[in-house]
Amino acid sequence: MFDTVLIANRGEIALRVIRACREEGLRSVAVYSSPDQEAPHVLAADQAVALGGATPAESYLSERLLLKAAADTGAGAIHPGYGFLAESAKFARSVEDANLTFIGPPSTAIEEMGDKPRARARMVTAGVPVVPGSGELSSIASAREAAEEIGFPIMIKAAAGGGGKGMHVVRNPADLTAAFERAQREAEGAFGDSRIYLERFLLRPRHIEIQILADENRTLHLGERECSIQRRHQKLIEEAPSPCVDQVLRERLGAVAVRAAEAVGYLGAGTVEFLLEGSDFFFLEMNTRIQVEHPVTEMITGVDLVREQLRIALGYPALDGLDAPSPRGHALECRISAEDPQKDFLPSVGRVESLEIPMGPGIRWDGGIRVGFEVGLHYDPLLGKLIVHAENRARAIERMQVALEELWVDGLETTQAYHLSVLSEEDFRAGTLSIEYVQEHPELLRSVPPDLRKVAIATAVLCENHLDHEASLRVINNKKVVNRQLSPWVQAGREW
Amino acid sequence: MRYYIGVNGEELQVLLNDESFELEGEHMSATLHSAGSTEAQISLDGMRHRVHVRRTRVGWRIHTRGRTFEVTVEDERSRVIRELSGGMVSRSNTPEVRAPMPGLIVRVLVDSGQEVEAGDGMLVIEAMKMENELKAESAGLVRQIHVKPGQTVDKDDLLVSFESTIDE
Repeated sequence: MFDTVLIANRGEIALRVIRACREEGLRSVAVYSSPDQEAPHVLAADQAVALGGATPAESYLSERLLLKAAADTGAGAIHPGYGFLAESAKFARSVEDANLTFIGPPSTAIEEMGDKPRARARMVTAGVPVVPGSGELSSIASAREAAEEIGFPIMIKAAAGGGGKGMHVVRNPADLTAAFERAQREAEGAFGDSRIYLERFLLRPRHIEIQILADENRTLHLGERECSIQRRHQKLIEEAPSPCVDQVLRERLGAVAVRAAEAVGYLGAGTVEFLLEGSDFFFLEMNTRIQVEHPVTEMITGVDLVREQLRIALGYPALDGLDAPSPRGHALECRISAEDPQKDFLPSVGRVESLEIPMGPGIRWDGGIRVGFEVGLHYDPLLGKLIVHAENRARAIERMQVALEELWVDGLETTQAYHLSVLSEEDFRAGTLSIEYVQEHPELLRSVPPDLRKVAIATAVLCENHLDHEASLRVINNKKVVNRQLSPWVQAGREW
Repeated sequence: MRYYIGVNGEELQVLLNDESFELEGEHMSATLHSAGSTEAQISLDGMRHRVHVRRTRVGWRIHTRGRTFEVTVEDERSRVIRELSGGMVSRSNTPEVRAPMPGLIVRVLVDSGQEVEAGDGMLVIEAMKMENELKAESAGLVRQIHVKPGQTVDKDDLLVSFESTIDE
């Protein structure tokens, strides 16, 4: 039906999709904003179309420019990647109306799952568990009744707004009346609307999501990913399988996720997200697109999810009609972003001066940068994903540590050191995770291994010493004289 | 030879001579081998470490085993010269706040003459509709604020300078 795909995205995911297109024998068309003129995805595609502007609104979010680029290049399909317009039902409809193939689910599915309250209601109808909650309440009596049904601890929330106003956690039924009245007063004061509702307060839940793949004839799942390591709802580290999910729980989660996807007539790749507390789980939302962390599922199943997206869009059966493979081993992903963890994740800008990517068995880099590329503030700070796969979780952690130590992105601050700190932390290593992990371990933001600090100081001093004096050093143990090799240092120092 | 080091907001001294390297009471042997313009290996007491090195405006950026350190190094002679010239010629330990990115200064949170602790907010810079609070790296006395609200700055522009807090 189509032989050319326009990738309506940038960075690492655009490159990922282009690679899958090439493997599938499809022509790829990249689009780019002016800062991205020499980005890796542009250089890798068969054809590239300039969108002209710099901000996302002027480029990657412009339906008009994207559809025009498709028309001009003869692209019969558009892959939206993640972010930007990937979950815009309006964009999906425009693509459908232009008689192009949208590589993703029908726009109706995007619409149903995109409106969170509506999605929740749909899930309730489909028998998918959601976080137990009430409708709007105005009397203490109805609140008490609802609380009995939902179960304590309860979170009281304002119906008219958020930001913590009118939000109270009640652990003890005896405290409900007072908290209820206080919440009503606060809500009235903050929003002019005293309506409140109740929701079960989950104690340190874990974020567990299920990968879905659906074609015209069936919907299947490829197991779970755990994404509990998050900061302000941004995922930092993901893994598959989850250290707390056994086969029984996996099958329960999978069955519910399949039911959720079928309820909206889903097609292609998608993810159903849950919050897990013990062995209870609750629907959070469905992401109707390929996700950033898809590689960890690919590593343990051997399935190429992006290629499956293309093939399903072409009309082929998912997984060539075969069953989902059983997962093998353990995979971890660390998102390497241009942010400084020591400065509260302040975004970093600059030019990539050098880049050293780790290699070896079970190591994968899905990156969107190259040497010489200017990283600015227009777009998401994700530079690339470092993924490892090994026989088990302990070995995957070891492999990731070695890989992170080899990685060097010169010219920018990155989150690399933070990942290293998490990987050596006890709770993480034990698999004791929850969505509160990052907040509960603030010391990791600043931790500095003392032996490496020593290395850095010694290196700086020796470099300075040679720069100033062109001196040779005698080493106490073996009286080694080091000087000739260091002329490049001195020269380099002079150039600086 | 005595060197004054600044790293992670801390200040310390090391001694380097023909025989050894001394840091925080520990003596060790140290050798440096380079393999290019940024790649090097350092041996400390026989243990080899691979390092990447870049010269920066104020010192050195050392990357080793996935961690990056900004280190300032000043030798005895340079320090004396700097102090004699009233602290104006400084390359190392006097902290400053420079713009980490191009943006718009939204708010200035300190005054000249004010004492700050590490982590105190100094100014708020806006870029791409996001506000970022820039914080003091270490305790100090604000000497001068070089920008005002409404001003746009480029990356690395000097925003705030401090009085030197080094005790001699």
